[in-house]
Amino acid sequence: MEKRNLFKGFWILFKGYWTSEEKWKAIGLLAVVIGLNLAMVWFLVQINEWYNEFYNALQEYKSESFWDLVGQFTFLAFCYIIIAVYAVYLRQLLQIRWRTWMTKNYLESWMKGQTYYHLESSTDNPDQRISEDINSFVGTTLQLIIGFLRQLTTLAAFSFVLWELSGDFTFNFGGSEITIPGYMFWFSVIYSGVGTLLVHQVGKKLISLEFDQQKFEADFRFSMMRVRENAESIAFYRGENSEMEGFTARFKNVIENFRRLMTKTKHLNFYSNGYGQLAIIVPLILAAPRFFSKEIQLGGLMQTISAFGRVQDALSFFVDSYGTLASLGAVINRLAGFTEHVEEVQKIHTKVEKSTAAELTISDLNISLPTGKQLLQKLSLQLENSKSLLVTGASGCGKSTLLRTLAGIWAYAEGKISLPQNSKVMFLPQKPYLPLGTLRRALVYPLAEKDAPSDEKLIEILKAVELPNLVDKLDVADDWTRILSGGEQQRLAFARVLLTAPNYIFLDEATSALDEPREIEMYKLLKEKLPAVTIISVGHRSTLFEVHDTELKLDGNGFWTTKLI
Amino acid sequence: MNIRELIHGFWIILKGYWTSEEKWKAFGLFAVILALSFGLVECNSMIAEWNNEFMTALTNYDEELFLPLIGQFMIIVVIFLFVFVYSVYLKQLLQIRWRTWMTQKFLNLWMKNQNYYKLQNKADNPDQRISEDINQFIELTLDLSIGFFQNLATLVIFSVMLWNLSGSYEFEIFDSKVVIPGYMFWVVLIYSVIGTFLTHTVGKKIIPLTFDQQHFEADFRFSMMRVRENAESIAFYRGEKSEMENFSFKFYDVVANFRAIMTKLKHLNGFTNVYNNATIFAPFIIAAPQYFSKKITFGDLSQISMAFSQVQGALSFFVNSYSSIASLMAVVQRLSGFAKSLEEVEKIESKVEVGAADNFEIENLNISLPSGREILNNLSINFKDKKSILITGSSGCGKSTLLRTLAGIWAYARGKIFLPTEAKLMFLPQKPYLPLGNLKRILAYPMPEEDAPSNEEIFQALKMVGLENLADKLYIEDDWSRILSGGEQQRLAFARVILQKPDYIFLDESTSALDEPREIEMYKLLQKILPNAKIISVGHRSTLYEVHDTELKLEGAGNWNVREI
Repeated sequence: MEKRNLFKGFWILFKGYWTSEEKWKAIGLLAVVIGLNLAMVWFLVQINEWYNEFYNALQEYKSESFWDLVGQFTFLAFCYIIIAVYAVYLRQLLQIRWRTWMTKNYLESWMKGQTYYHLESSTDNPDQRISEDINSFVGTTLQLIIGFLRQLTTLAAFSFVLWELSGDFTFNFGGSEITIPGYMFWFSVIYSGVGTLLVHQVGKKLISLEFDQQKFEADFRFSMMRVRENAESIAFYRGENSEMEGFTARFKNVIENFRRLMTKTKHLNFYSNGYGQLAIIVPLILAAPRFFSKEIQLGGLMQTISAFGRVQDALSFFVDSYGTLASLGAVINRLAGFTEHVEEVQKIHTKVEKSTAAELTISDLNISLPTGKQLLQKLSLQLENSKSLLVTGASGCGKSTLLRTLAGIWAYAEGKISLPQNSKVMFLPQKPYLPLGTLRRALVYPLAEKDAPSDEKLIEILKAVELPNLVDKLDVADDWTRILSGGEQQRLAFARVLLTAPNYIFLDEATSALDEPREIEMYKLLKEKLPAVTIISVGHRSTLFEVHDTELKLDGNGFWTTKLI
Repeated sequence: MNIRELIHGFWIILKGYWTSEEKWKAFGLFAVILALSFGLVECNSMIAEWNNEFMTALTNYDEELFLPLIGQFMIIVVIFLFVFVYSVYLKQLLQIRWRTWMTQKFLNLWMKNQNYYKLQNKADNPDQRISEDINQFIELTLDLSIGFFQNLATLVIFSVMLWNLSGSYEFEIFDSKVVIPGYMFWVVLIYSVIGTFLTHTVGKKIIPLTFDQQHFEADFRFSMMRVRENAESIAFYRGEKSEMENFSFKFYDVVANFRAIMTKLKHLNGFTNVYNNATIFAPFIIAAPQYFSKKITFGDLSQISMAFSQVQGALSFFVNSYSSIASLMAVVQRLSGFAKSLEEVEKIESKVEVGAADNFEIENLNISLPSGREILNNLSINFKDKKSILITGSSGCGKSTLLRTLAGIWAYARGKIFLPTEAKLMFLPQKPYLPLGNLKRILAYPMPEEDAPSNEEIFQALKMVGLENLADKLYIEDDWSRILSGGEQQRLAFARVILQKPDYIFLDESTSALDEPREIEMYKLLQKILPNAKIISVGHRSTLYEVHDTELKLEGAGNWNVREI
């Protein structure tokens, strides 16, 4: 993305919340936070001036004003602390409110119109966008805005202090006297500016090395994770040596990058510590002439050092925020890209017309791949209610895509599909998705858990699909996808069908993990419990012919034939 | 684990490197780092002394002392810089050496004897143990040990300094004179211990909350990741509402916990702010009576304040290292748990004897489940006149376990297996594992890279299995398990067989993702290209009978039956 688009992207992401129904609360909160930050700067200036008086009192052995000053400091510090604490607290409050608003918004548009499914093929990570990127966008933006305003005020206020303290510097140049007013101010700006810039130059390289380090560590870990996940296959192949080779190569990257990181850290430490130590002594040297000529007292000297430090901090904020800005830019790119993709896929609409008829009627249905290759040409067929259809064909001929089209989630299709009015349709994918949570939730999915039928009914159905060992585990929350075998999961999917009692059921290789007798059993169970149901299956096995009435054979080039079995 | 076991575990993990062949280098490096750390403390004490002289010179307006003192400071700072930078650098060097040694050791242990496979069912995450925990263990151990010595030295040196500066405090109680020598030392001791303890008490409550926050964020993200991974199944089920509900629950946890952190952070911020400000200020108040009675100079006052903050910092290190020790102990617990599980699985060995014979022969093979249930009783079979065997049986009857036993990765078996010497075996799991890397490496897997077949051979093999479209992609690195469909991956596994020309091929449902004609085609290809190879398959489909000459039927409960097809 170009720079200009980055600003545009930022603006689009930014404006949502600040023009929403919550905007007045948000603007009010932001105003308070900024106000508190400015108040902090004011108090810092007061404390800085207090230092002057305090050291003067010490220098002149004024013990009575010493205790007054102690009291003064306690008061100033107390106010400052309360303000500082609430500045942080309210900023976090604003952050979490903004994040909540944006997260809700993104989740809704991700779920709307089954966008999550259509996005599948793009390389985006919606989970990362929504959980991490939104949070860092909100956090970084607030930090930058508030930090910018605060450091700008600090810079202005303490520059003024320095100017006041410094007086004029007069020297002879070619016989004429030159006077620089506020010389300490000028010097501190130049010194801090140059120094921070140098440190930043060295530090910048460190940042990219640290980024690489994380990447290499993740690569190394990922290579091990794959071995864990594919342990059995690797054990079968006896792939240990090959894997060990991969680990060693990846770990070498980790080590080598760390060595580079060490060297760069060494350089940065030299610079930044040297610079930090110099910053103690430089203002002393600068102010010394005026001190020894008794134009300022010890207090003035101390105040100068402290003001010098503040100016330097403020300047380094601006230089360092370059890095923060760059990472904000990356976040904006990712979020804006995600938004764009969401908008794109939301524009995709299937051209399949839906209407009603007495029985399932497909007319002139054309299906193609995103590449344009036609999978199915002018498919027209009628299926009497309570009959069953088996879709067959070689792999890749478009059987699953036909089912996707019927489910309304395939965009590259046109034609007309009619179903009886108010008919209940259910699709069974090959992988019976089990949501996280209790077994009850997995069983009644996609119904919400609170809409679940009675346990008695659930138990009866579990027994019917031959999962009686699960009846006492309805309330156990676990990762059921890991616990149940593929076959058990597919039987659980059949239990869902019995619970939903649909009029139409579409099965996409929904029995692939069952052995042949069990497969037939499940089909017979469907017909026994739901005699009126119309079945449309996709399957590979020849035994499936036994439990279907009609075959629809696809040849993959658009042609199709139907025959009675 | 109790404390004693933890300490013992720590010792076991620690001693490996420090008794290894690298130990002298390691000890030498550690000694140098310690010396540098003491050097740092010495520099700090020199700076404090210098500060005294400098401030005294200032208050006395000793202009001629000013520049020499600045020069002195520069010398101290240069020494300090070198000592500091190299203490950090050498610590990192020791860290990376130690880590390299430990990582190598753990990787070897994990890969040896197929331990990675045997570990599969344990709850451990070997990838996390090896990548993160080892690193953390080393970092924490080094930080704590070096920090301990450095802070101890600081405490001693600056306590002595404070003692000498402070003089004694006299007061009268019941008409008798009480003298407290070195009273400032006692004050700072009491002040720091109470203050650090209070900070710790307030801060402690945030630690579990931040831990929870990570946990909740991960849960939230994981719930979205599951939707992304199961997008099609969810789209088929139309599960958006159910998912959205789930997201809201998870995000609510994130927000609620963040609010709790905000409140706790407010308290902590308030407290630490007060404490830090008070620490700057306290020494002045404590020393003020001495100063105003002119017992100490302004320089002494300034040195006291430096010594005060050094002693306070050292003491708080000891109190705060409690949390570092706690996290070190957690790491020790994880690592020694991992080491223990590795040891345990190392002991698991199959009781199956492997002998040499002219033919593949199985004699009295008994296989059971870890639970003790027997799944195969006294299986004896001779392959002399048989070319191909199909192992059948209902799901869960032990077909795959029989194959695992033959591959030598199932521990709960006994009996005898005879094989011709130098027979090359190859196992094809259902999921044809594709390692990371380019396609050539995937095809040659598990051969090491230097034994990889020529490109010409690879083209031939790809053509035979009908994947000629991949021929020009041999050097493309990508996540091929995502790009290739299940069927393509299984065909790729057949290409591996053709390239590696085994004498025995074991297929565990390795054609489950192919349609029936393709499946037969693949088997016929094997029989044509490798006419002498024997094939042992596990499969569900009835069409497989066509390409096998013998059936081994497992009937459950240990019974079995062999017949010719």
